[in-house]
Amino acid sequence: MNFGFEHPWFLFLLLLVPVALLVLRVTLVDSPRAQLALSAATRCTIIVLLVFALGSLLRVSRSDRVTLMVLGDVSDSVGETAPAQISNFWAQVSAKRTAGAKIGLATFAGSNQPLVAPGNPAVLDRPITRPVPAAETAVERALMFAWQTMPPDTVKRAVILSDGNETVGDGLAAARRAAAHGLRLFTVPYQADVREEILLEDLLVPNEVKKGQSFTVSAVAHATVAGKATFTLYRDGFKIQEKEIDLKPGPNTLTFQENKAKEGLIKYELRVRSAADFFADNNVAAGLVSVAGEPRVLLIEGDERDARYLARALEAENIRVDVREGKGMPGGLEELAAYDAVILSDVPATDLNVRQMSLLRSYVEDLGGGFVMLGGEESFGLGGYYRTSIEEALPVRMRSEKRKDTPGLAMVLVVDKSGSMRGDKMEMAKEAAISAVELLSDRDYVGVVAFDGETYVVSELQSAANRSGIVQNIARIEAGGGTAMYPPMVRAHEMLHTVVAALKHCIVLTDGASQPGDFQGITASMAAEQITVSTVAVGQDIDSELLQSIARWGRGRYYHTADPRNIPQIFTKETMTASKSSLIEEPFVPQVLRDDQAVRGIDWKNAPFLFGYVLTSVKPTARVALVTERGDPFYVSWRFGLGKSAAFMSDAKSKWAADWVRWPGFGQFWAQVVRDVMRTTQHRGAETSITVKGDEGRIVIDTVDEAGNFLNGLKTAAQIVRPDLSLMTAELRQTAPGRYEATFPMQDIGSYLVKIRQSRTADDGSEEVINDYTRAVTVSYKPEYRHLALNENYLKELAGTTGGSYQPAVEDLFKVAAGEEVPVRQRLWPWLLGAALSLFVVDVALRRLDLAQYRVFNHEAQRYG
Amino acid sequence: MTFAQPWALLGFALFAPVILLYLLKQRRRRVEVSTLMFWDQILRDEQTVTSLTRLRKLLSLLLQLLFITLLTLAAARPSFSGGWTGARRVVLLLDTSASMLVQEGGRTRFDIARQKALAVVRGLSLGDTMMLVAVGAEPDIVHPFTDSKKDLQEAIRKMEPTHGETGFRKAMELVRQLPADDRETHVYLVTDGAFDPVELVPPPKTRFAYVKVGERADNIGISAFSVRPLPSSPRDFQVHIELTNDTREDRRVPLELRINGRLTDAFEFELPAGQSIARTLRQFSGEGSEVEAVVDVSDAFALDNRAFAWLPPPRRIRTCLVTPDDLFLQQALATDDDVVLEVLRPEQYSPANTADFAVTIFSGWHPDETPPGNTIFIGSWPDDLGLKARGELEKPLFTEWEHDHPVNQHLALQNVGIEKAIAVEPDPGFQRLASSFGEPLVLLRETPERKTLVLTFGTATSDLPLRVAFPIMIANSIRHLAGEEAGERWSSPAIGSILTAAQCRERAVLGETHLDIRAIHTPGGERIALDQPAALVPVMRAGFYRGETPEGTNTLFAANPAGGRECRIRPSEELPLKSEAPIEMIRKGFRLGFEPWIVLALLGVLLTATEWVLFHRRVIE
Repeated sequence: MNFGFEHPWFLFLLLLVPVALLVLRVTLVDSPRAQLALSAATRCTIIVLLVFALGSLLRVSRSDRVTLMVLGDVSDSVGETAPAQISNFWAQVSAKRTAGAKIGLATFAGSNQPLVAPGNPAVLDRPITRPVPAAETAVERALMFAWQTMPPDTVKRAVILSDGNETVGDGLAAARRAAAHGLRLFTVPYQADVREEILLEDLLVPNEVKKGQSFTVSAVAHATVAGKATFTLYRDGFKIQEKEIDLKPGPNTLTFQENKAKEGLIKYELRVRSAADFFADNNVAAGLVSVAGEPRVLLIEGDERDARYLARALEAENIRVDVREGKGMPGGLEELAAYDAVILSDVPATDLNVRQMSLLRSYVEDLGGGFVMLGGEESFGLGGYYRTSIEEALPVRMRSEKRKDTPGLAMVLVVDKSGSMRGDKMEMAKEAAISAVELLSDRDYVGVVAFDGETYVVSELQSAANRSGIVQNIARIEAGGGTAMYPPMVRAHEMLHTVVAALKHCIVLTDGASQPGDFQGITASMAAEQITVSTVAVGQDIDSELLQSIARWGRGRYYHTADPRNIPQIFTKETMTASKSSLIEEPFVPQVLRDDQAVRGIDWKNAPFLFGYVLTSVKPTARVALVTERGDPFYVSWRFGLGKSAAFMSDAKSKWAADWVRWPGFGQFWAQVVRDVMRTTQHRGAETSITVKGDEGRIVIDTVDEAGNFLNGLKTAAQIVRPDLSLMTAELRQTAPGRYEATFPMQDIGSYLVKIRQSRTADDGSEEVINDYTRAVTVSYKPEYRHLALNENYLKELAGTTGGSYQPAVEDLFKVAAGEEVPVRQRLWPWLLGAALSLFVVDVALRRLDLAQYRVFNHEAQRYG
Repeated sequence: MTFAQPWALLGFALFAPVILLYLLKQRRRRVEVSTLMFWDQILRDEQTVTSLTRLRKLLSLLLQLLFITLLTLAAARPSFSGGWTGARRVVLLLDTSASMLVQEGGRTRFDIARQKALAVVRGLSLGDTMMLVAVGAEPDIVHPFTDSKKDLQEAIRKMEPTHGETGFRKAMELVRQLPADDRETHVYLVTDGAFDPVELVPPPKTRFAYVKVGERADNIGISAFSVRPLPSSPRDFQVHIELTNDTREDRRVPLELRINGRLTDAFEFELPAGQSIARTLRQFSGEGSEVEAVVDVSDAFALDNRAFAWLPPPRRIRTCLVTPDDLFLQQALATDDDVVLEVLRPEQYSPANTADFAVTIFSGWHPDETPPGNTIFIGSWPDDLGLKARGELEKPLFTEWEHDHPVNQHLALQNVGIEKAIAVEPDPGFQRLASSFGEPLVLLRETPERKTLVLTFGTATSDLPLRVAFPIMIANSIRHLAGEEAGERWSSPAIGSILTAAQCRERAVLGETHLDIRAIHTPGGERIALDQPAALVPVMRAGFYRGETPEGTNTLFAANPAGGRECRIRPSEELPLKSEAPIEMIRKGFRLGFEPWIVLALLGVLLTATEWVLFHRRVIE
């Protein structure tokens, strides 16, 4: 035992003691000396006692007295018998507490209700009731409350009676903090209290859909007992579907199909009714769906007037269509990004430049856009798309295996190699010639003649099977010299004249005005032998009139391009057109090969005839949904990068689809095609987690590129739509390589739609969007009503983390281990004041009574007297 | 006025004996003298002074009674209602966040805050009780309500600032949750206010006071720092660093990167005034290393000039591959440094010799029965697995996959070519991780006993093994099945968190071995023994936390000083709380610092001393 002072500075008043003794030296009091001495001693003692009281003398000892706080969970998730179980436990604790132990009682749900303050004795003088509302379980608050109210000079114990389903705060963290100050926590589970209950888990709906798109609404219903229940689905408060289902004990999955959502944020709510149910709060699950406006499609049609059939059909299916002619392809990605899908119908590659084709590819691959190419005489290979970016994006190759019944082609390429062709023009011309050679089948013949002032036979007319040799010869052509086009045309005629082939064709390419010659004569001779002649003019210094005339006389086509990069498309288009290998014009009815979103639900048996299609070959991973009666691919789709593309080999206008455009399935088919391929979201490798803890949501996004590298330095923002549809914006902060985090308040019940946008500044200063997608998180009801089973692990961990135990014997709650005693400071000042008062009466008596009559005092008195 | 110990008023009963003693007539003493001449004169004089004597006697009695009154009242411990002496419930919120380590004229802000907190304690009066709360990352009740100034002062003197952020929001929740009390609640915020104002709904009968600490405002520091292994190459790391310049001028700041204490790289950054910049530094290999970033600037807040990170050593997962010929998979597994691989041919397989492996992979072959443990089946599986084959899928595509599932982390599966897969009818327990137009391609079943992953296509019939996604998918799958989720060991526990012994041991893995950690050595030099299951390791200081093993010490994790907001050290000039309703402030004015009984007792001491002198000088009787 030790002593100490709370206010030690008062001890300076002890100086009054010597002062009091000094007074005796000058005293005028004639009392006996012994009496005076006794009186002085008494008075000095009084002064000392009072000064010690002022200094607040403390007795410091160690105590093993326990204060036990009983904390009973009365939240809604615990059974009806919880108050009774708390009462019983309190009775046991009262009966078995050790002498000197203090006990207290409080119940808790979201907040605490003190019932008995820690004390000895402690009497529970009122019934335990459940608060209203009790839709939260806040173990952390209960622990903090217990820790606040326990007397500091006792060994602290708390026992929690609960089902362990914490919904607010972090009880474990609070327990650890309290344990660091010496609190030991015990946990006691409630006895099983099974009740009939059905609860709905989160409603699972897609985050984003397009207007008119079909999707699934599903939920899991947990039932404690088997029974019938009625589930009703509401869309924005209006009942849309109802089902009665026999539930089995445990989880039951329910699904509803929905396709009638209107534009905007649509709230779906599923409610369950059943006779065997206790809580009404958990009978609802809600979810938010962002229904984007009508899909927007860009339809590019070779002849704008032909677009009306398809445009009208799509608009009837709530798809907005912008129609442009062939040369109207957007020149920037931002313009393309405004569309959900792009349809290219019978537009030759020569109407597009190389950059436009690359943009379209990037639109599908990187922006996730949809792309459909329709057939026609200017489409696919016939349109010159062989070896273009567009071919890469499509699920089909332009070069098809030539069918045995198609006629053989003999073709001579007459290529200008004059000095003015140097550079890009020559290279592109060579590439074009090589592509043309590659496109031909083994049964075709090809020859190459180059010219400047002279004529050079680069490759004699020979079977295209010898491709590699021909290609090598073409690669050796070098530019230089003048331009004399007539002799090589004569040479081409000679070459074609000798060969036996059903189709004969000559392509002449030049970039300048030729020396004179009898162009009409040679062309007429060729035409007389069924040899067609097409001309290709490159650049500005050309004799376009002559070249157009040659094409007209030769019953071929005339092309002019200022950009040499377009030459390959012209050559391949010419080659395909001339060979007529990829065009089939015969009536047929498409056959469904495989079920697909695009062909589902259409009455194919009654589909009318189509009158032609383009032959292509399917890429390995493409999905063929429709074929022709000959088995050729007819409708093919695949996923390309983030987007999807499809190829439809016939057209959608009055040429091949003259009967189709009047068929009721026409609109349905095209709407389904567009919805299948169109962009749904922009999402590149970002893992998103939105967690809810208490009244706070936490967004964590990990962003990596396709090569598995982190994407750093992205500007990341989340636009959050609250349940009341108000908006809030949260900036996500980068916290680690590839990781972005933010928190936001989530106090309300309902759905939170989180639209995440990640972007960075491109080299040219523009904003490059990396990710733009939506996630939703729904709090359908308070978590209190979600967990109806005992969370034993939580209770064990809660107790274990403080050195307490799970399900302890009541006696163990009061056991104190060696070294657990706490220091106790007892203030002694009231006792010191009492003693001073008592002594004071003695002091007065010593003064008022004449003690000289007593011998001891008399002797002294005589001596002084 | 009320009395805490009213029974002490019985002390007034002592009036009776004292008055009685004064009423007693003192008997004259008999003394023999030689002459009466002088006594006659005295007796004549006495006739004239009798009334004065009576007055002295009465004064003496009154003083005695006053003394008894003072002490009796003191012992009864009176208290007074009213502003200047009314009992209060006081909550002292003392900021222990990192910004309290800012130097202010040779002392830290916390030193100043401590003195101000002690002054608040001295100002407590009778009936006042105070709760002391340390507001670091989490509010911590350092001392529950007490009227013992000594205990509170001792507790304050023992408090130390942490390296964490300020959690005044939760502290205010604690205030809001205080049980009802008749007394007024006074909340003192002893802080620099260098945090975003906290929203508050003022509780009833509660007043606030802002005890401001600190003046300095300029600081440059590291506001975020972390390292993270790359998903595609878990042995390589990237470093993310954010620097904040909270001064009024642009600054050029040198930064050093140290690994295991050695300088490995140096950088220089331009920091615009008042802004933060984030940078990702180069990748490097260095698992099992301590990484430290140091900003070479001289400012008032030295703590945030250093930051720490730990590159954990890889955990090894024992994996068995049973295959006749899957070289692609073998190669992918061999390149994963975290996998200890053993390859068995089908004829070598028996359930017993794969029992010790964390994961067993069957590719191109499967046993007749599903073995116990975690398994991956590629292309085929036993009949008892619960996956009924119902035909073939030709050229399926990965059209949808669960982006956020750990197995699919960082995967780009678009355009993966698959020649054919098996169309399956899965039992309800299977979760679809990836599908092709609704047809499952990757399935996972998790039960408490084991996890099973199934790929419905073989590696030989797909170009997946040629993609970057393949090794990532295999690595993710193995880690998920083995319960060793990739990636998160690099993260640091937040300052203010308290780790259990089990959590510390979880981090103590070297290769395949779990280290026998006996104690934790904190950056502050403290040793925390883990001999009790309930041992706790508070993470309060930035730096490296090391585990003590019988063989030596191993770094377990790093903790970083709270960055972000704590880097902005400018003190708030106003109470850092905001509310739609008016916040009542504690009124300034006289408050009796002492309890009334002390005043009464002090008067008693002075009275008794004075009375003693007066008596002996015969001023009173």
